[in-house]
Amino acid sequence: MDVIEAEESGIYLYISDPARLKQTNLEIVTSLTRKEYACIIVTTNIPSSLLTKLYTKNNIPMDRIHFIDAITKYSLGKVPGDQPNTTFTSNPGNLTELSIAISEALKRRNGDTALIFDSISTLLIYLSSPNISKFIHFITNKIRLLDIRAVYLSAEKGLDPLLLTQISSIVDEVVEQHEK
Amino acid sequence: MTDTNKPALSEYEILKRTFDAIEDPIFYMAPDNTILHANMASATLLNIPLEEIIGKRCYQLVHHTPANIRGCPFILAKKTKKRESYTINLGEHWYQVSVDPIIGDNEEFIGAVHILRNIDSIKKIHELRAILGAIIETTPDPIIGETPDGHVISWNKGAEETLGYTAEEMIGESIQRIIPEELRQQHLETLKKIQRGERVDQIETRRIKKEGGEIELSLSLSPILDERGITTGIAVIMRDLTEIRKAERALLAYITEAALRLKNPIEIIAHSLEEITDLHMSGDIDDEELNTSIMIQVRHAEKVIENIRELQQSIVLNLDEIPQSYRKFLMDEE
Repeated sequence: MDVIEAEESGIYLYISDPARLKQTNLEIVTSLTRKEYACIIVTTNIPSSLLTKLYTKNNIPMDRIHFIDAITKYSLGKVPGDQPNTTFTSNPGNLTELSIAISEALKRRNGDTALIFDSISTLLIYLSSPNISKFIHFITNKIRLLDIRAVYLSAEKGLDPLLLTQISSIVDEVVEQHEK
Repeated sequence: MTDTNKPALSEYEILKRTFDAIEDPIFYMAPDNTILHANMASATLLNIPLEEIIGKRCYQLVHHTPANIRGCPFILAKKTKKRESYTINLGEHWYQVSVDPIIGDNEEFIGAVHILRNIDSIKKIHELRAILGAIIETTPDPIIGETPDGHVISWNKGAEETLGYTAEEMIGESIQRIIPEELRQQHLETLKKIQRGERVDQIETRRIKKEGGEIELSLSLSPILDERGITTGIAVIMRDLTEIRKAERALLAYITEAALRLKNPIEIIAHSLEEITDLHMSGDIDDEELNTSIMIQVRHAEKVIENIRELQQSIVLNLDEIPQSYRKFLMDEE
């Protein structure tokens, strides 16, 4: 069972072909918002401005979306002024800032909420596997306490065997998606 | 009836000719060191006619000194009345000089026989042995000499350093002492091959160190053959594979890390750029969003390069056995 079909809260690791990662993100967010979930999207690869366009095009209600954009400010050195539902962090490698942003967003949640982390494999460009493992453990504990849903996205073969084993052991389910 | 066995020469003549036929120079000397007799080999050695030798003192002809040299075996033999010998270098040759005293009926010293034996070949063998011995002793690789049945007869410094046992602890012991139990049968089969005169080259195996741990080694075993081709010993040369294994593990770690830090991120960047292009061409994103997305991928790429540089440097810093030119290249040094 995946996050779309699940009736209860749970934590999922989605392993997807790199060419399918964006599509997986769209499918999960579309499905969850249809079930009236609010989604906190942590993005480390696609800028939130671009995701906003894609979601809008796919009729995703943007009032249910909050972005934590860890890449735009780092890449451009500034943030766009017209994105009210977005928290920009300065650097994808700054896990303290990212943790605070996620904690703040979770505090503000209203009703059923899901956290979508897109993606762990991109975060590996900026951080070592042991640091990512610690971070995922921290976020997972928080999510368990709040009894909400979470999805960690990763590119296929984007995690080293040890990190994959560590994350697989703390999530409820690992969903593998391959390019059709 | 004619006695055909009767010698045509007198006994003296026979002995004289025998004396001259001997290849080693021989002098017969009076108690005062005067040469009374000398054979033809002496004339050849000194490069002067035989008649110029007789009546001269040994030190005048051989050492060109006005008196006996220090430690002269003739003087010693005169005192000890026993055979005395020493080694001397004359021109380009080495000789073993022995002086046999001739003792009279009243135990008095009445003369001496002085024989010089050319020992060039022995000297060369000794020199070669000394050089080989020095090489064996100074090489960091363990080199072990064994009897054909595997008992240690020599154990160099390299063996001491690599395996922990001193030569005193190992000489006389069976080599089985350092072979893990599960490899002993295999070793006995190797010994049989060597005993048949075959070489065994570069087998990778393990040995037990004195401290108890095992070490990975590459072994070459050669039979030491006598003139008949019979194995009289075994020369074992070992090579510690610890550093090679360490480098192999580092290489594996590097390949894995390089795959994670290079191949996979580049794949993500490539797919992202493809998607951005598609979205831009279909009009889903404008030029500014295209630029933003490209900038993100540029940042990813820059970070990937930085990661690879860090990875190279950490590998280089943790490995000693990297040639200097490669070290400089990997460390991005001028």
